[in-house]
Amino acid sequence: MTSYRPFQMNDLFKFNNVNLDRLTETYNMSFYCHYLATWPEYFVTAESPNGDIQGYVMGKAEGDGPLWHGHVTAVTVSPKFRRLGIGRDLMSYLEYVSRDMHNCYFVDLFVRASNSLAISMYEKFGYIKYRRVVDYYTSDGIEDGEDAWDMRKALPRDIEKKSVIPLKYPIRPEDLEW
Amino acid sequence: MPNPSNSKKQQKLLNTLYSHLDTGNYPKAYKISNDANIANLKLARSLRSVCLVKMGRHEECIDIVTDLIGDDGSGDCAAAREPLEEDIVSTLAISAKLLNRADLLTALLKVHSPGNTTAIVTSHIFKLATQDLTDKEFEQLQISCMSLAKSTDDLKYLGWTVWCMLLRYEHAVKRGESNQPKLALLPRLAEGLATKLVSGRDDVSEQDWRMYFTVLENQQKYDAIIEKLENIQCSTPKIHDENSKFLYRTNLVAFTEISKTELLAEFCMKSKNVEKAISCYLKLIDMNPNNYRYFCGLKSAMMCTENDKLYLEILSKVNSENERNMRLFEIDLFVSFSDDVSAISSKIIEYVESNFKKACAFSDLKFALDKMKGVECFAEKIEELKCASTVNIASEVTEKQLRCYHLCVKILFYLCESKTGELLDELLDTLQLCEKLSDFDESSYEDLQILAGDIILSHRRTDKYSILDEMQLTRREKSPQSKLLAILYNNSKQNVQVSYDTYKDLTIKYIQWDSLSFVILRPLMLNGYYNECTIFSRNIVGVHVSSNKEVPENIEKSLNNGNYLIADEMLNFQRERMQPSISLVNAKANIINLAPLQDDLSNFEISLDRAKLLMRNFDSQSAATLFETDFDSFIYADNRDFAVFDFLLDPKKIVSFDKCEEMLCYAERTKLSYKLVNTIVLSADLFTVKKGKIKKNIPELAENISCIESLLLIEKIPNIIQYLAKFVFKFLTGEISFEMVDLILSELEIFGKMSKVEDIGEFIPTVLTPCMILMTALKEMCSRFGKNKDIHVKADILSNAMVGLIEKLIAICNECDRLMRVLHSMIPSTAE
Repeated sequence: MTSYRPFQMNDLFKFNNVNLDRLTETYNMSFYCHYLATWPEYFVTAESPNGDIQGYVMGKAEGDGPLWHGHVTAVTVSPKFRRLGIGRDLMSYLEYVSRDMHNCYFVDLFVRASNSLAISMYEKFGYIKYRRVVDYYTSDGIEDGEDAWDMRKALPRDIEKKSVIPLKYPIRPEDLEW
Repeated sequence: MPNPSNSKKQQKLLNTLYSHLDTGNYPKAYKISNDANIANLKLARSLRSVCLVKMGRHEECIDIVTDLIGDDGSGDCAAAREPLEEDIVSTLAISAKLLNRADLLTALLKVHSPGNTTAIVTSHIFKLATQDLTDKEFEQLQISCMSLAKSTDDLKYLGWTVWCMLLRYEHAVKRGESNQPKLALLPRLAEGLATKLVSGRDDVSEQDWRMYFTVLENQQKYDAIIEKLENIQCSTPKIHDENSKFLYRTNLVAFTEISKTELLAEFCMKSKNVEKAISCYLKLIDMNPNNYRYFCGLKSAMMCTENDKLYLEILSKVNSENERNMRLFEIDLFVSFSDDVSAISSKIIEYVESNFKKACAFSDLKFALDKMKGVECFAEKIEELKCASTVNIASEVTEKQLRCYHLCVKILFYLCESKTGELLDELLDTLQLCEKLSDFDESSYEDLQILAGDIILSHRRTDKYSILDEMQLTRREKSPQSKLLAILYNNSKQNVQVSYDTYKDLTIKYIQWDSLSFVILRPLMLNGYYNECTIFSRNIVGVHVSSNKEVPENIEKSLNNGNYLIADEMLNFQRERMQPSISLVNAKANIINLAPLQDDLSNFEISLDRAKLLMRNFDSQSAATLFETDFDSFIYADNRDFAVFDFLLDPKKIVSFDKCEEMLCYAERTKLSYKLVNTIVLSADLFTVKKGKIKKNIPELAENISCIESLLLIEKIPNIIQYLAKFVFKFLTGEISFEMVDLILSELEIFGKMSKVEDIGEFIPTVLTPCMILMTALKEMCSRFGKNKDIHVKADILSNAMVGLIEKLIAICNECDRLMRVLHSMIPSTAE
């Protein structure tokens, strides 16, 4: 059973069974505090009844005009609690916040082009590959640098679904609007 | 008329000054601020104050700031000073904030408060609320927030005022002063303002509502909250895009129907309106069946009723699409309300049969298993399932079978501790059989290995330890859980190098230094890995130095974004979890104790320069000087994350992690060493050769001596430290005599003959560091008594005795080769 609630500062001491996973990044305190201070409604924890953290999602809202969108900064689930639909629930929650609280046009995220597992998961959630971003990920000594897919899902405010018409050509990180 | 070329020159100098400040070149900036052309300008003086505080020259900085503000030190500002310009005010505010002086900030607000900088100065004070503010400071803060609210159309300042009042009242309650007339009124004043925050507009944000409800909740006005909540029409989002926040000048995040219903349910529970709470939770489950929190809330509400059969009625009403939640909820209700063990048993078995493939199945069911202890038929059924899962294991095994086997074995281990031996042998045989197969699921196999390792360690089955070696749990591709198990196992075998390498493989970072370094820190210390222990300890201190800066900055950010309750949460986090962290206390103790081993190991004493540097680092206010804490009343925060061990049984029972009381005791002993060194350092600057007594009128010195006196009364301090501390103490207070030296010498010889160091890892902090403190004091004593040959002879004899004592102790401690090498390299070949 999984309970969803707002992320709390104290969770920083309890998220190790999620963050010890090699593919989950641990950031400095300032990073988490900045998200809590600015977009607390996007920062949600999935928790078991005994208080163990099963996963969490971090996001934000940004953009001008029709580019006003929700963005998935991080979504991660502890290996022990995968294949239970927690990832889907966290993504649904982020979409609900973007739609019902922030009135966004779409939600987007970046994913490594080689991560076919994650890409197919997002496609099942209704995301499309909007554009390829060349050399988005730089090498950090553990993982190699590579391209990213910018994936998007339109929300009801985007009536004509313009935000999800894929770009036909790749772009570079410096061309990103945010 | 001002000379145009002069003001051009001044501007050029100021620009250069700013540029050096921007690049962090404070000595250079300071020099320029003293240039004759600008030295007397108020702006240059205020910038000089920033340079001084950054260079650690706090007293000089305070002098400039107080002079410019016009504070005469009595708490009231001097009358009729010319108001300062905005840029000077904001610069002085930076200095005051860096000095952690809320009193200077409030003085700045009182005397010089031009509109635009008031918000900046006010937010600096909020940042300092992570340390403590006086009521006077809170009062000024409140006045300032109120004036901002009145003079601007920015609603968030109203929120600031409300929050300030709540903090002020909370502070008064802690000090037992909440009955004072002006403080007793605060909750109602806050309510009045909070009402203004949420009235008269249709775009009230969720944070505004929550602030309002917090104010009412503090007065336990639950009925008023519920009435208000029921009448709220949830707004459609007003946000157009990211520019909206500048247009509307307030937090615009909409209050949704789900948020409203959650709050309604919560407050109905608090006001004991259980029926309404139940209907709210049913509605929430309908709106979001995937959130088990609503099921938990529903169960809590049901437990407040006296209707034993209500759970059956509710079960028929709950119609959730989420099957897993429904099944677990059903089990939960039966466990909580029913005595029908066979019904509970059959529901659990049903869940096991349909969900065994899930790695979390055991943790899902754990809450219910306690009721199944001693229920024979349940254990038998699980046993049947277990056997069925491995019926063909000699020839093939699927992931499904391994998962089922894993779950059943784990349940049986949990239920029947008496059968552990039998189950463990069978589990190990199964693992061996799997290895012979060419194709099996790695992940479920690894989970079985972890379970086996967990049982072996927790039951201290040393006869099976070799199997843990064979599992190769430290291999790079293994999961973090395997690696943690490997660390615990290697720690228990004193194989710390392997533990340390495995720990590094986990790439622990940032906040994890506080929550996870406990896994390796003590083993490093106990086994002589002192450099590594120091590095780890410095990382922990580094996390806290950063936090002390970053959390207050984000409190300010939260307030500017209208997220008042987030600001409140951050404030409490910094005050209650970070600043009193037991890991921080221990880390600082490690660094102090291991300081003698850093750098020049042949120099068998703490040099005064090194000691001064050490003290300065630890007196830095940004690192939360816990060594000033009165340990008797110290309430620590234990942030260590034991939950990272996904073990069957309580991990604290399996391996010996330090208890918090032991860690505090260690810190207390270290505090004595710290105070002794600090006192020697201070007195070395002050004494004269002619007079043998230190000047007691230096406040810090007097405070140190008083602290040493009280620490010497602590029972748990080992005898040798007491001897040494008393010697140094008497020396510092001028009570030492030549006869005293003889007496202590003979006491130490006797001690050296009798002492045993049972715990090799305690040797350094317990004996060596105090010995080095004594050597430093001896050196100072010789300087003090000048050319007196007798004292030099006595000091030499004592010095040789110290060396001899340590050699004797080394002879006793023959366990750790590495420690022996380190210690032998430290002993000088001849005593001076």
